[in-house]
Amino acid sequence: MFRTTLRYGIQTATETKVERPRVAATVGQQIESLLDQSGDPQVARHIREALRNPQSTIEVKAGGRVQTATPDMPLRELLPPEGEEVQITVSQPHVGG
Amino acid sequence: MNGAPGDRPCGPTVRRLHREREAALDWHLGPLAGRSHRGRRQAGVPLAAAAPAAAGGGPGTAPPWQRGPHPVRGAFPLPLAPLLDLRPGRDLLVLEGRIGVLDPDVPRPGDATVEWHRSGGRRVRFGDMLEERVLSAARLRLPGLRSWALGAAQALPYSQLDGGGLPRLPGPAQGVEAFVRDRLIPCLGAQARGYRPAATPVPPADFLAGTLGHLGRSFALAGGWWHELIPFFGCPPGGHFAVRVGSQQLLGLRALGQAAALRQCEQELEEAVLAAFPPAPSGPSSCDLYRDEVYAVICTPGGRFYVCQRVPEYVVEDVDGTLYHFEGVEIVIHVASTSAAAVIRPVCVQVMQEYRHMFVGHIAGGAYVCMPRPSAYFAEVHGLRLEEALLRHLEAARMTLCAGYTPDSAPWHPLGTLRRRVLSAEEAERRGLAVYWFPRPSGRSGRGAGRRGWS
Repeated sequence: MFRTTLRYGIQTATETKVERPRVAATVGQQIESLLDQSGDPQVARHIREALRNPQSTIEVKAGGRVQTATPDMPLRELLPPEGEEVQITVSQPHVGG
Repeated sequence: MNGAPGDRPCGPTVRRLHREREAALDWHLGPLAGRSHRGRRQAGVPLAAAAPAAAGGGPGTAPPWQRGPHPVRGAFPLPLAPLLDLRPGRDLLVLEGRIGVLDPDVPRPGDATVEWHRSGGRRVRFGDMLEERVLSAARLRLPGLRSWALGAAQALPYSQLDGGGLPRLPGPAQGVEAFVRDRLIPCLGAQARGYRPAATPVPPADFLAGTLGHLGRSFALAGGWWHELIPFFGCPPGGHFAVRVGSQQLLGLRALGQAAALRQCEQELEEAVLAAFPPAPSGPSSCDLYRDEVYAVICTPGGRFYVCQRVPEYVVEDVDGTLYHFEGVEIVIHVASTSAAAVIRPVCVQVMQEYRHMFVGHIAGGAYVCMPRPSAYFAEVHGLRLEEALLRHLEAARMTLCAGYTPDSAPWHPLGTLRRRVLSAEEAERRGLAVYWFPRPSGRSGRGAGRRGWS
């Protein structure tokens, strides 16, 4: 059982528990599943907008480690064999200059 | 920016970002704008030639944080002149410890008056006790006094933040300490299991007792001079400072320049504060007011408040597929006001250590993250509660450092010139480091395929 959190920057869109067998196949699918459960429509809208931007960043934090991901990446490969928390953070591009 | 041979030519987006950044620097720096990038370009200095020094790896004067920490007795956070509201032309009478302010206006019938030396009758308003005013001010500034005291006794890691820095925009500065204590720290504590160092030890109520002895129980500050006053009966000798309050006549016994007299007293106050806050044992920074695994709130020896975010080490991919390692770093924002509009500005996120990075530039003695944002971003952030605005902007700075290197970015320093350690993808994976891949159009083959460049 994972406590899964979906965030947009520092804002939390969804926080729920997911059983390992029920983890979605890809990162994008898991995000969509979490968005459907979101209680904050504004944050959910921001996440969907960000996902449409190819330069947005998705970070998956699990097992004490942060990895960047794309929507089509297999999510299970990013999860540790053991662990209780998964945090997926979607961020708009933050172009430096 | 891209003037060095081998750099990619500037496209319209990069040129726009250059203009936005320079406009932001001019807005922020004002009189300092001549030291900005635009100043260097207009002077004909190739940017690439300037890059190594600005990147922190070249010759030149070392920035403050490179000179090594050392104890610094900074400006005492409890100066007497502002506490007594002393201004040019304003006289003050302290009678048996009670502060009396003299008005320049002609007294009216019924007003409390004093016969003031060579000025005739003056209206006077007696208020609080001097010692109580100093004690009250000290209680309100305990964290700042503690940081000052600890900084005077030992090197503190955040001492360099007290020197230089960008000019502060006008905004409400009062209430910053209360904001930090009552809103910012609780906000952070609600998100994570952080720790708050043992609450600032409250010294005994009378820890400043006796420190005002140099001024005396009764004295006058007039015309830039301090006069010790004693009761006097009879005709005062000519030339002596004399005042009459009701039926009581007071004579100036000793006189000293006002600044010197106040300084003597402040030295006593400083010694009392140093004794009240002995050096802390080694361990977490003595500047910490709050710290968890991500955030911290500190008070520098000079009494400045900063909110900090720790960025773990990470890897950035260059356009040619090379992976560069960046060590973890702490980024901070100076909470100089309770107004988000005055605190959150285009250039306000400071890097706490020497940090060679594409988007870190040295400005006004500090290293700042350069993160151009549209005006709509600042309009949104300025509308937030300050604590949320701070965290939102710090997170934006973190993402700029980690993931801001894109085809649209305008690096201050080319990634390949930063002398960063090169890693293989396997080593990054083995070390569990987050890799921020260079975004490419989908379908392009290469190391970055399937990474951020999805369609």
